[in-house]
Amino acid sequence: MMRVLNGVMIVVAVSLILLLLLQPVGTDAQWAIAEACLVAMLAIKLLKLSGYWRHLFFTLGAILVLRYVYWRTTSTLPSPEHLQDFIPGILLYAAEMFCVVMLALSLFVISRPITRGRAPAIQEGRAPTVDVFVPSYNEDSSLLALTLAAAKGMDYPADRMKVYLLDDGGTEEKINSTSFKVADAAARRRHELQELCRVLDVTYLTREKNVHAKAGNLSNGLLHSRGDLVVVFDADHAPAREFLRETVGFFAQDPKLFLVQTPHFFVNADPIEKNLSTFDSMPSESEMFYGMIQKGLDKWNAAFFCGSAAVLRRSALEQVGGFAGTSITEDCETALELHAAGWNSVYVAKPLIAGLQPETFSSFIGQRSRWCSGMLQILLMKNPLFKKGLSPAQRICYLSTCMFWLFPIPRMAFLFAPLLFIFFNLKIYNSTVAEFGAYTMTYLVAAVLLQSYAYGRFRWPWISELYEYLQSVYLLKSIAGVIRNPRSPKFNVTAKGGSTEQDHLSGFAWPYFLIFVVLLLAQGTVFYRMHAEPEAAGLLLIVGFWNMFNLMMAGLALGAVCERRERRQSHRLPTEARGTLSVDGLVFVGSVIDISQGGMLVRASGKEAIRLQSSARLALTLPGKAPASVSIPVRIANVRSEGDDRIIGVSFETLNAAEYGAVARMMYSDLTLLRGVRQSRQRSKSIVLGTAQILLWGFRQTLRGGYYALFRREPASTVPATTH
Amino acid sequence: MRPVLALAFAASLLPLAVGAAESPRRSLAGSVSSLSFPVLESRRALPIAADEMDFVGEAASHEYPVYLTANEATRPAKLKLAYLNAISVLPETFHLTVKINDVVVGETTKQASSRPGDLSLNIPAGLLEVGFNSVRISVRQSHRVDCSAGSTYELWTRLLPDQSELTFTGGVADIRELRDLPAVGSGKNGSTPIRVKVLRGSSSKDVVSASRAVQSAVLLGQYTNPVVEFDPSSPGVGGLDIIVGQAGAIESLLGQRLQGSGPRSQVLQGTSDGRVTLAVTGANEAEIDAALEALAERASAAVPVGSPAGLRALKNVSGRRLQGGESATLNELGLESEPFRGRLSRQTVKVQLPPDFLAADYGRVTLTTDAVYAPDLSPSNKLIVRVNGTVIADASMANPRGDVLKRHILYLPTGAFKSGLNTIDIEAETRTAGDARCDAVALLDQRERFLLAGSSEITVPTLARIGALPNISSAMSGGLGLLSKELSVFIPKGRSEAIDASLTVLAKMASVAGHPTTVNVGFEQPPQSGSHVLAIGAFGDVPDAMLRAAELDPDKLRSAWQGTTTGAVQTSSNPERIKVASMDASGELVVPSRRVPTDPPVATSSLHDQLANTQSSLGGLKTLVGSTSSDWLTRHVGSVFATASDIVTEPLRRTGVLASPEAARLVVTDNSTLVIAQGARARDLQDGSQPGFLPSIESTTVIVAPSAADLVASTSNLLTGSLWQQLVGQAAVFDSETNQIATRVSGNIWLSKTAGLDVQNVRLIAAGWLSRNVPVLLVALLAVLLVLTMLLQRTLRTTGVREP
Repeated sequence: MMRVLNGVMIVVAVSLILLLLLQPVGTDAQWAIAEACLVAMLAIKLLKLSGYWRHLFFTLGAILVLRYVYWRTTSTLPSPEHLQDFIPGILLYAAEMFCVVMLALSLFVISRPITRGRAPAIQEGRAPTVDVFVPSYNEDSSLLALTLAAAKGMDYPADRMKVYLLDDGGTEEKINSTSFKVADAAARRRHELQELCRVLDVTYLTREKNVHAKAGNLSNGLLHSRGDLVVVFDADHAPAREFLRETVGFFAQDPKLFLVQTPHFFVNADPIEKNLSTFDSMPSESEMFYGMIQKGLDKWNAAFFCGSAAVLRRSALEQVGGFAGTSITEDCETALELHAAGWNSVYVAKPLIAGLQPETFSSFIGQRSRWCSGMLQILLMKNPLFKKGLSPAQRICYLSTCMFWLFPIPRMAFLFAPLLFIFFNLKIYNSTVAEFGAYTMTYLVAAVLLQSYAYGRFRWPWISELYEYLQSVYLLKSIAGVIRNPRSPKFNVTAKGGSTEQDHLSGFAWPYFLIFVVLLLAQGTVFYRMHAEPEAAGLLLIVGFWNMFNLMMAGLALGAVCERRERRQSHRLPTEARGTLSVDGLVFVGSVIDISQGGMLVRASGKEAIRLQSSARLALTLPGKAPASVSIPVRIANVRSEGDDRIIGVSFETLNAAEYGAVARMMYSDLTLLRGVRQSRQRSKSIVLGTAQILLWGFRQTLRGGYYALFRREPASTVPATTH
Repeated sequence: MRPVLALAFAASLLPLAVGAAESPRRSLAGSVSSLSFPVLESRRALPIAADEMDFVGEAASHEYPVYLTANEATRPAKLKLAYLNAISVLPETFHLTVKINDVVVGETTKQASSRPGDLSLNIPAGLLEVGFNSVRISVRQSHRVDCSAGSTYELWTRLLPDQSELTFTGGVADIRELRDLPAVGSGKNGSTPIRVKVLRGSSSKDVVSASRAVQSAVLLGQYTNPVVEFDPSSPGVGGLDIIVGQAGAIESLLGQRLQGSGPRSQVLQGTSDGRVTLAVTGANEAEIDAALEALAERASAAVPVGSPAGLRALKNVSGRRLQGGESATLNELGLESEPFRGRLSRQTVKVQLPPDFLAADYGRVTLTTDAVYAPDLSPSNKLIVRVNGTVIADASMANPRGDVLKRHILYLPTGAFKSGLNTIDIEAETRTAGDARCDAVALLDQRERFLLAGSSEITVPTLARIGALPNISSAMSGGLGLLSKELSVFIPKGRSEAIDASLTVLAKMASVAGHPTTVNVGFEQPPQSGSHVLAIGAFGDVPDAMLRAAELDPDKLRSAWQGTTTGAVQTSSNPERIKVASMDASGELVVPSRRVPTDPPVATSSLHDQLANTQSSLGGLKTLVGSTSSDWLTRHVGSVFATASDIVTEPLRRTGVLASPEAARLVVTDNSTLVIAQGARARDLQDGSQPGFLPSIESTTVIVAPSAADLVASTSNLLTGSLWQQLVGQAAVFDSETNQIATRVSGNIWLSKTAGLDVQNVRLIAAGWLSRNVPVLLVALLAVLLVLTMLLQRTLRTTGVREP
């Protein structure tokens, strides 16, 4: 009853608001409304108010957006009598309206993000049985060894957990390939991994044919296992010890629960962070999704499966015939099917795995093309709006997730729209300067404020625009491909890890340079026209400012596509372990600073000389609930002094299962340190400082891009290590 | 048949003018032998109103609608003009062109500054048509010694109305039908005198009959500047006599028989003096009433005839009526699209918006401009659009290669307009570098610099239609008649001057609005029937209560008009922009106790400016050479800051969110010859201090003068020119001597239903009301928003996944 009453009152209030907002009151009144809303929003933001005020902030922002939409629709569209203005005018309008719709959808999604409490404790005797799947296609064994060892090392009753390596690189199809090279590689791979699995006590599984890519591989795993729950880790996603303790408990609480998803937490920088050198100071791109959006989706029981770092219920998967394979984003599609079948999901915001992400710009684009194509496949073939069984909120959430990937279209429209005026003098946006100030400027300020307030801790100002621009250039093609034939996209395995031997221009860089040059010419034309046509100065100023912004983004993008060299093949994680290093009969007491897949950095005291490349043994006491001692064979790689101490770099010799387990445990058992480092980056940047920062970066990266284009064009050899 | 033949004979004797020689001859004229007869000639003065006889500026044009009877249109006709130039007009560049029905019939380049120049033109046969014809006179002139834009205001050419006329050879105009009433000539200042007599007497009921007859005559005759005299003591000259009474009485008065029987109206023309009389008659009172009714019906249904140009001129003479949701090209609005050769082009169009148009910012009038400007003009030139005198929009004309502005759109917010007559001035400065030197070459430079094409178009959006009170601008343009079925006119003590003034006001209202206003008249007190009262009288006659009801302070009027204080300076508080009322603006009527000298424009101010400029540029130089003085920077930062703060605070101030620095004041002095004021209140809510949305409203409009003589003189003076369009707001004070009008804007606005309240209209009215009451809009919006947020929050808490 209360709900109905509440609903009726909301309808009345919304109607009243619309009635007041959709009044064609003049520019002065608009200024008054805009100023009142912006001042209130600014106050809420600066005073860091939350709760009720957070929602007020959103509704105030919505007022300005609606006022803009109303004015834009009724007053600014070119007349259909002038088709050359009207057609691009309408396209720009449509692009803008798409952004408004997306803003509305995303505000709904994050209207009340929830943070789940700790998972209920598992009753030791009655813990559900768990199958851990590590699907692999072409990752090397040392990477897999660590992931499998970490999975084996998870804190869970040993008799109730079984780890499977699902190898798609050693299928019968591959081994029987007509190409000798392929067949030989597959056979050797299968043998090597079978041996690794034997050592690590992991079940090796492969299959007949590589059908349905990752989804098929996982479904094959389902057929050959029988645990109550299924855990999926990508080959490069090593879990923390507490992974299962933090997740499995939820399943006992809710029998209709099909998914507990945890964040993908990356130990390396994505290529853009790497190339712009922002990894250490700025929150990563993925953090907005895992820090805010998934929490928001969780509120509406619409948190979705992200392909890895998740626990799923076998009975639920079996009900819908395993992992879905219609689209190339099987994870989201599977979740959509299960949500539609009435199953529930939970999102645990705590990072519980450490993973890798693509390191070169081209593999980054490859990954995003897959996501974009897959999500659009879902939009076209399983449109959430018409999918039976979803709640209205879930429909909105999935729609928001899928439609997000149409962003390249408006992004490109905003990039090229000013050029139509600058080069061709088309007038596609009818407005006076005063109206532009009162409506457009205030709308833009409101949009920036909204973004900054909603995501500030996870996303600095203008970074979304940069990532969107960078992806748009290539994703447009993916969108076109899906629209032409929704079934055409094929699953391509994302190359991750890997390294860049030297500074060079990405092979994908040329369109960015082309666009930059065009925008630069446009800016030159603006200055020329301002001089030659002072009568159009007002309009040119506005359009020129807009193009300047695009130019700055394009300049910043030049830096992002200039690959910095990355010598390390694997990524160092901070860790805490004390022990002794025995080398050539000498014993040094020390502690481990950080650890990577290939070796460790040890801080040791003692002044005796150490010979490089000598074999040594590192005896360590592993911290944690169950302290354990382990001795690892290493080789001295380098030594340097730091004050009284010496920093010794050691690389691992060939490891056995127990030693892999120890390394994995040191690396991943406790992600607290790493989480601390990442959390320290999660602080909001004020709009003013963020803008200044971006301008500075834009300038610097433009120069760097120019330098690379002139002197670092040579394609360098990259050493990709690919995983799913 | 005989007179027609005689006229035809006479016509054939006239020598044909050169200009007319090429026109096809009429067969009638060609067949007549050349016998000598005395030539009869009838004259028709051009209807030139006081403010339409001057041609000010480098290019100016006026168009006059002239009605011709069938008898006149077929005669050989001549146009005689007399004019005088300002001494500053350069003889070499003066050019006067005359067009009739858009055909050039003659021109002259003879400058005449010492004594009147004259021009006599034969009008080609066949050019004139029965009904309204357009006579357009255009003048091109430039300054002898000055090339500045300001100097163009010193340029004028004046038509001398008493010597400017159309003459027709062969007899007088035959005015014997109601449809020929427009042929009744205009008198002084282009006004049409109407003398009305009700034979029954001069009671208030008779005044009602007179007003009905007068308004009908005005509509039938399309008189734009009627001046009415009730029950005149002297016969008067020209114009129209109206007699309302029983047939017998009229016959004995005129010594002429009236035709027909029953309720009827008849136009009679004196054979000797040509006087035109409209008799409204019947056998008894009931029949007279029926005759008045029938006359009003005919008047409302009257459709003017004439040439297309003539009808256009007629439509534009009091401003083209635009109801909203329609467009008109500048050609249709009477603009003459001619290349401009001077330095400041100024074209004015007048539009008449509905009297119940709610003036506020909820829409925009678009001016789609087609214009061309020549190369090599100064880059600072601009095209400026003024609405009612205030600059509202502009477009740069800075391209040194010249440019074509094709369908260039300028937006004029509806808030810049008012109900009733509005003027839109389209100005273009077209100065060149040569004008700065202003040598002989520059002074004689007559190349074409600018052209505003007649295809340019004004589009008026759908307008909110509701009576807004008080609003004297709407009252004059017929708004009072829309508020109720019957307007109560109160003429205190039935003084004859006040009756004349009242009838003149009603006649003007009918002319402007295009329809009559039904009235009820009271002499002792306002008629009880209506809730809207128009009181017209001399100051001593109008009761104090009535003045107070119109928000006038009788004591202050008394001290200004009857007190001992000597004349005070008339301070014109004519607002820059026609402001609409905001919540807290309140005007006070004040009378200055002594003469306050106004500051003459300080001639040295420009010197000050120059000095300041020099200093500022010196400051800039200092900064450039690395001086430590941060003065320049501070000043520029200061000015940027001031601009930014203006952008932020000005709209708030204009919308009343922030308090305005000063409230409107109105000054009445002993020079003031007429005060027009309106007060309104809600009937149910006597103490209502807040403007409500649609309560039942009553209003009192008062037109009061210090004396009965002032009342008549000032009323006709005000209404026959274009001065009345300056009446805006709640009250206006008119000074007959200086022709100055000061106005006061009202604090509260009451809305009173006039048109249908369909969804569209209600929405526009609401938008208009809200844009005048932005603080209310803001408070309402934020209040609903606070509640909505609370509701949403509650809903969010209880829907979706229950939070841990």
